Formats: sequence, C-alpha cells, structure tokens
Amino acid sequence: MELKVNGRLYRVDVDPRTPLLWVLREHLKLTGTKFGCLKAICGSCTVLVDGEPVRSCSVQVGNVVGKSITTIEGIPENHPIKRAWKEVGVPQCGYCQSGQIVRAYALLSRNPRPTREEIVRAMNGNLCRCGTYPRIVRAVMRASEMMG
Amino acid sequence: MMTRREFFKLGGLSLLIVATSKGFDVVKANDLKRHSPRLWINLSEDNYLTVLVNKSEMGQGVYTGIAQLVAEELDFPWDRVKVMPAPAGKAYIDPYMGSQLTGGSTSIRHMFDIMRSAGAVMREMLIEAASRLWKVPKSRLKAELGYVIDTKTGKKVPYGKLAGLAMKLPVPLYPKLKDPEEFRYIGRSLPRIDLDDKVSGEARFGLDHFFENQLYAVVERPPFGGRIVSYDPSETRKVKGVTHVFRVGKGVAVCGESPEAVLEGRKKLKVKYSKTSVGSTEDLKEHYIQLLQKRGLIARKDGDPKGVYEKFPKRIELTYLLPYLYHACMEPMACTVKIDRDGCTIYAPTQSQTSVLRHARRITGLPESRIKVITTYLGGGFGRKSNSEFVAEALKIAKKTGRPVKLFYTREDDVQSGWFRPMCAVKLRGSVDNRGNPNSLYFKIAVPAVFEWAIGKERRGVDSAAVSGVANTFYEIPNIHVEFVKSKVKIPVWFWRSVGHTHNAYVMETFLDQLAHLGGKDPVDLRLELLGMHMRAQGVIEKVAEASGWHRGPREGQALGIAYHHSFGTHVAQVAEVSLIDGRVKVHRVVCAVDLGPLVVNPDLVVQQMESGIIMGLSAFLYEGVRFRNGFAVNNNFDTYPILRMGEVPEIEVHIVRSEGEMGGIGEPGLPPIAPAVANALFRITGKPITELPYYGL
Ligand code: FES
Ligand code: FES
Repeated sequence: MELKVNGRLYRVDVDPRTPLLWVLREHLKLTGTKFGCLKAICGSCTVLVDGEPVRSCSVQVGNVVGKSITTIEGIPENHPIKRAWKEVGVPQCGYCQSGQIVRAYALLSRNPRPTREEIVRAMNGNLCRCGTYPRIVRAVMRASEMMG
Repeated sequence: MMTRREFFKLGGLSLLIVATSKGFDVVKANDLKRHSPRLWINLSEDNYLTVLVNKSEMGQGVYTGIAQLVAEELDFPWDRVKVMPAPAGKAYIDPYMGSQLTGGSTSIRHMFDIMRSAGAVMREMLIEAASRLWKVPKSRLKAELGYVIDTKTGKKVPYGKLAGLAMKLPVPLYPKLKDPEEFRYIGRSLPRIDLDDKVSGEARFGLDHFFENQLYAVVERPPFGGRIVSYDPSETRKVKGVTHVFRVGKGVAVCGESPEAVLEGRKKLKVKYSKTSVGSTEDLKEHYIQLLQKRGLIARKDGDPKGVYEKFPKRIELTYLLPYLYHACMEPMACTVKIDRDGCTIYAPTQSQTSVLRHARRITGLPESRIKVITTYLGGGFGRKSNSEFVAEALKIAKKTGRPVKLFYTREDDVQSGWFRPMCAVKLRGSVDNRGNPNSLYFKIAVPAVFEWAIGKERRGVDSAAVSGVANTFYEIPNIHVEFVKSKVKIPVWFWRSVGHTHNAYVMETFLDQLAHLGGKDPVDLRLELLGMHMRAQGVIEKVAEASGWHRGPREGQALGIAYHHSFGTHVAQVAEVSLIDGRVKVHRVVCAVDLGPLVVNPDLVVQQMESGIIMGLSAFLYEGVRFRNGFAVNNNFDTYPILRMGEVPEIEVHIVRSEGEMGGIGEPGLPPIAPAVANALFRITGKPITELPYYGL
C-alpha cells in the first residue's frame, strides 16, 4: 500500500491491520514518534492524519491510506511551535515531547489563540513523567504569540 | 563509540582523564603508552569542542551541565560545543564511585573539578602554543571565547589553529582554575545542549537504532516469586513473522520480524505459572504491619525514648503504610543489540554502563575491548535504568537466535518486570514536653532492603536506604530510637528517585506536624527551633515561609502545608497551597526553596529538576501504588496506574538559596518534601493525619 507521510509517498508491504505506529517507526524508520502505553492512553505516539491528532498506536494503517500523515519530523524546525519549545526550554528526557509538540501543533492550527484552560484541555491526554507540563503551557502560549 | 581510526582522524588536541589513586589526572592522548580511544575532550582544528560525557542524559540535563564546566574553563563559545555519550569502559568510570553509573544525584558534584580541570589544561596548552608561535611571553596572552589574543597587539588566533601545536606540548600539572568572579557560564542558564535533538524528533532512544537482519523480541514474565512451569508455543508459532519462542531468564521470549508479529504471537502463548508466595495487596499490607511486631536492628538510639514517651502525657502513636511505587519512565525498557564475529554492539538507555558491560562479558564471553556500548538518550530513568536486566535479556536472545535484536517491554511488561520503590509499614511514637517541644521520637520501619536487591545477595546490618533521612535527621530531638525490620517479600525492589527518602521524608515530616499540633506550635517555627544548629536548613525554611506568605496565612478556603528535607547533599523546603473540594485535592501553588551550596552550574536546570520532582512526588502522593493479585501487578498501564496529568499541576515557584558549604545534588532532592507538604495542608483542613498512601486509595 501507499502512505503519504510528511508530504512524501512511501510504499509499504504490511498487513492493513498493523498499527500505524509500527509502520512509521519500524518500517519507515521515522523514529521520532514514540510509544508509552500502546493503548491510546498516553499520547506519546500522537501524529496528525489530515490535520487531526490521532494516537498512532491505535490506528490501523489500512484506515489512513490516501490520507495525509504528519509526524514530528514533518513539522518544520522554524515553525513557531518548535521555536517556542526551545525558547521556553521544555524538554527533559524528551521521550514524550514528539507527541506533545504534535498535539500542540494541532491545537494551534485549529485555535491560534487558546486560553490556558483550552491548552490544558487539549493537552491533558499527553502524559509526561518528567513533569514538563508547566513549560508546555508556557511554550504553547509563546508559540501562539509568535504566530500572532 | 569512537574507533581507534576515528579517534586519530579527529586530529586537533585531545585530552583524557585518567583515574588515579589520588583522584584523577588529565593527560594527552599520545602520552599513553598504548594509544587507545579513551578520549574525553577534543578541540578540532576547525575550532569545535567535543566533550564525551560519562554520565547518562535522562532528562536531568547532565550533558549540558558537564559541557558547561569544560567550556567555562576553556573559555569557549557555547554554540561550538558538542557532546557525545562516552563509551562504556574502565577509562570512563566516575573515580568517586569506582564505576560508570549515573545515580544518587552525584554527577555534577563528582565531575565538577575533573571536567573543569580538563578545560583549564586545554586552555593553558593553547596559550603556551600561541606564546611559542608568536614568541611572546604568556603573560601578554589571554584566552577568550575560542581565541588566544595578544593583549598588546590585539592579534588573535582561533584555538583550533593552535591545536596541532598544543598537542606537542607537555600537560601542565597544576592548571589554574577560574575564580568564581571570572565565570561566564557557570551560574548561567544556558539552553540545554540536547534541545535541538529533542524538539526535532531526532533524539535516539533505546529502540531507535536499526541493524540489518534484526529481530524484534518481547518477553512474557512469571508472577513475582513464581516461575513459568510450562508454555505451549504452538499457536504463537503460527503467527506470520514469528521466528522463535524460547525461555530466557525467568520468562519466555517471543521473537519475530516485526513488533506487530511478536505482540500478536505473545497473545497466543499459553503459559502455566507456578504458585507464588506473593499474594494480593491485602496480604502484603498484613505482612508489613505484622512485621512491625518483630524485633529489628537498631540504627540509632539516643537517650531514653521509651521512658520519656511514657512519662509525658502529650504523646501520639501512628502507623503508616506506604505502597510499592513504579518508576513509569515514559520510555519502557528497550534496547538494540548485535553479537557477531567482530564483537558485540549495544544501544541501551542505561544509567549503569558498568553493569551493562558486566552482563555483556558474561553472556558473550567477549573481552571488554570487543564490546561497544552506546548510551542512547534515556526516556526517563529515575533509578530504574541502573538495572540492566533488560540488556542481559536482549543479549541472551541475540546469542540464541544469532541475529541482532530489538527487545522492547510493553507498558504491562515494564510493570511486571518489577524493581519498585519498596512498600513499607512504619510505626511512629513521639511526645512533647510541657512547653510543646518534642522530646522523644520512636521510628520503626518494616521494609525490604533495597541495597540487598541491588547487589543481589543477602547482607547483614541495617539497610541504609531504609532509615535514610531519619537515622541521620538534623532535627534535634533528645531521645530517638530508629529501628529496621527487613521484609523478604519476593517482589523485586530498586532505587526509585530519592530512594528511602521518599517514604521517610513523608513519615517524618507529617509526624512532625502532628507533634507541632500536639504542642501547640506553628509548624514553621517548630522546624526552625529543632534545626537550631543547621543554618542551611533554616535558610530554605525561612525562604519558603516568606515567599509563600506563611505568616499571613492561607487564602480563603485553602490551607498551607510545609515540609523540609535534606537529601543528596541538598536542602529543600516546600510550602503547598491546598484546598479540598468534594473529596478532591487541589494543589494551587507550590513554593520551593533549594540550597545546593555556593555554586549553581545552571539555575534553570535546577528549577526544572525541582518542577520535575514536585510533579512526580505529587503524582505518587495522590495516585500511585502497585496492586497485586496472585503475584502479578494488576494495575499495569496508565489507565489503572494513573500518573499526574497537566490539569492537576500546581503553579510552581522555585527559589535558589545560596550558602557556604558543600555542593549538593539536584535530580532527586526536589521530590521528598512535596507529599508531606500537601498532606500537612490537608491535615489542617480535615484534622486527620494521612497515614496510608496513595491519597485516593490503593
Ligand atoms: S502509545 Fe499510543 S497513546 Fe500511548
Ligand atoms: S520529557 Fe520526559 S516524559 Fe516528558
């Protein structure tokens, strides 16, 4: 089957029921996408499908054929969300950060001026054991300003 | 790991650090009799500094901190500094530990002088080189931000251009370190050096390397204290892509061509388990409480705690019960290994390169020189990743299958692998005199011996983790009894961020508030009185009291709680602003003061570690505890073992207090005070002490 990831077309030969996560990570070697629970609880594996955030561990690859998939690698380095993330100094271990950044990117594309409450509501499904939460809120607000 | 060839290709000026009986020496690469790739820092001819860091980056910022130390003394532009994980090997041990290990909040403390000296040596050699090149006295030269400058003529040359010449010069024996007033980086919040990697998605963790012909593997595990009696692999083997099913360690490995294949195959595995002595959560609670009846080992005895306790009518006795805690690194255990004719290569998110090497030597039979360990970024460590059992499993699988292996734990596997913060029961008794001053304290803890599990054999004596923070408490209470009873429950325990301090700070700090209440004392005042001799402890308590508005009192509908604890050389006090609405705890704000001595390498990283410790500690207080049935952990994913989410995170305000005295650590000390601070606030609301955790029930 053919997959469109970060604007590129890839050919993959897998069972259509395979979780998108494994296809991205292990077949296409786009390892920026991580996993923490494999059960749609933690958000580490978040990617965008046609602009909507989804948990790639719980989406079958067969269902996203023909759609446009964006992973952390597909968000430009100079995008305000990534710049704000660095300016605020969000990451600690970094493991959850791809999922966080992708989720925040999706939020800002839909709502460029989110309130604190809206940020928390959107991001609450993404776990971070290192406790970078306060800085995530700050970085999303900062990115929103930069996009202003 | 750098090969010999790559090492010589680097060129420029390369320095090594050699552990000696007196500490360490800095030497030039070519001063060693046998050239070997043991480089620590390199200055390339195109003027880049590469620092090999012998400590693991697990979020605490150690790559940044260590690089800052070298760049400081070398006086080098920060944007030209690179870091690499040091290989595993004797050449890279922490001389103060005698092993290559990241733990105990020690990295910066141990490497502070070493890495600064290496930078200073390099700087002096470059100045010497310039002095010879230009034939001018050294006194006229200065080294600044990557250039050696002739202060008379203004002529300047980039360090890199001098590197080749410097490499021919002797290493100065006593390099002069900068005075603190001269610091340009130490004390500054430079941005983390791993930011780009971690924001771009390029950062590589345990499962992010690929080998040709690699296999994937997962391991099915037995109950704690039990074993796998038999297994039927027939259905598993039918799954497309599954290649091998066999026993490894205590478990059964399922290997195959893709992660989806091995997960599918494992679901079909039929396994029979033996009976186990580890029962359910209720059995464990009873076990620990019962154990308090037994006579233990005395860790400390001052005066006559029993007599005093009995004599004074104002006294209190409480029994605490605290659960097993799971580390919950966001990255479950995972590594990628290869064994072939040339040797063995291991990509592992490990806190203990020494133990990885030990396993690798034993399993492969190869000499250390043919074992390459590449420390990846760690997706959280918290102590858990100093246990290298997962690497041993991967190596055994690679050996047996003859193929490179990516071993990964699912979340459920990660929990069932164990190595938790131990459960414990603690009995406390204390009394206060007529003026309300605590005059006796009795502390008896029933808990497994973490250090025994860590070294893998029985030990006599008091386990130091079991009584840490209590046997050596700074509180001056005249009559003290500290006793340890060892539990031998077969649930593996390990170091969990701040180790014994996690339970002991909770018990001590909440009990102290009980004594304050009994004696009619303000909790802040009482602490200050009991810490009469300890200025640093008083300093952080005074700071949080002031910054939180302690003496003004709480806002309407809220209560304030304070806790203080000293661990890993650092003093931390925290005040929590808390309210309780319909049985739900809301922590509005936490004010934290931390004293880690006179020098702080990177203040923002200190703040980050305080935030991190507070959030993890609050998470444990409210929610965390592993439950068991028939020896299996039953709450084994984030739906049943919740950790704190963004919505419950308080506002956090951190104050760094400077003081004279020794430098302390930073990765762990922020965690212990938060749970008791919140519990003490809740006590003010409800009047009931909280003696069982987690707050929302196990
Ligand atoms: S791995 Fe997909 S949500 Fe956790
Ligand atoms: S940065 Fe470590 S889990 Fe979020």
